[in-house]
Amino acid sequence: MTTPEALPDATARDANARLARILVAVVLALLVAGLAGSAAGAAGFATPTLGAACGVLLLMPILNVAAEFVDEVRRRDWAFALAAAAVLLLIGYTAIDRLG
Amino acid sequence: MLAGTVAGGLGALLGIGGGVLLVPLLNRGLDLPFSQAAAISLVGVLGTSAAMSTTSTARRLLNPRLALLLLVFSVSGAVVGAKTVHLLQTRTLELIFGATAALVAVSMLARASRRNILPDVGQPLGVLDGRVFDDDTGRDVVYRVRRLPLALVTSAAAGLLASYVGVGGGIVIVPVLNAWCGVPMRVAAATSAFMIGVTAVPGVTGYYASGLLGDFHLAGATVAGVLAGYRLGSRQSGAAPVWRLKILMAMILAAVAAMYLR
Repeated sequence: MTTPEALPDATARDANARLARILVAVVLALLVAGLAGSAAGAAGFATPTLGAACGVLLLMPILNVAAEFVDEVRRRDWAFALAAAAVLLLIGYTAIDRLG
Repeated sequence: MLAGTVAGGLGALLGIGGGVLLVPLLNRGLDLPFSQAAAISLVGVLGTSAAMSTTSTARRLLNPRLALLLLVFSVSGAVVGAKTVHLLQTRTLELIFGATAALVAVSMLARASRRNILPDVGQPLGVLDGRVFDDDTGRDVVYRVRRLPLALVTSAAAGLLASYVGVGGGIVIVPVLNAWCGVPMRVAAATSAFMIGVTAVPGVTGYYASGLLGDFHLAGATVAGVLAGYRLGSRQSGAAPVWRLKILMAMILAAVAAMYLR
């Protein structure tokens, strides 16, 4: 295991925050389109659009953990890479168990 | 959408996911069944977590290793909760929610923000310890994580709560990390914000599979409100008297607790 000095630098974290901002903008655009469709009575358009917005929201925390997994593997810090992998596996198990 | 805006605004001002407000607003305010209110609230928590993750400051304060370790337990709790929630009667879930609201009301008032920092003199740090820039002193400081087993158990309980009653769990994790585990408040809040989104995923998936998210219209409107409320709250965060908000919030939560525990 490495010391905290080896944690991702500010640039990497800023890049992650930028990606999060882009994804939130996508969610907002989908929500506005979906809710406008709903108000206009176009349920056939609104339901999948709002579902997609919720899907992107669901994906965001998973991407955050995946990014941490990649960071830990890059640093060869296997204990924390294993922790991140365990979280991803648990989420994958739930998805297959509940949706499969 | 209005419920989401209130929850998102308070999320930005008080650093909470907002689930403890969303559930009663949706359940008692809009007369939705408790399970459906919990399902929609959990999607709202995803929205708050997403909004919080967009700020570079939160990313810099996050302790990713501590978060990963705690997530193993909180997500395990959430998976167990998602698999067993159908075994509990609505009244039991309401009692759990009422007790949570009461606990949160007390912690809102009693929670003293501990600094938990040491001057950075180049001392060796453990793998979970951290180094952050302290705005008050204008220099780097360090903190040491203590009582890890307590944090792990709390995280597992927070995961169960997320899947059972639709609250993110941050309101439980933040005070424990700050008061007993040696983590500075802002680091605890940033780490919790990272965690609540991930912890919500098993619950949301389970509720979706049970059909409780319906056609996404209510969930979509709630998230839109949460994102708008978070933006409004962030703009006011410097000017708003947070201690007054905390007292107001504690009073609302005490009323919510009384409503569900009666």
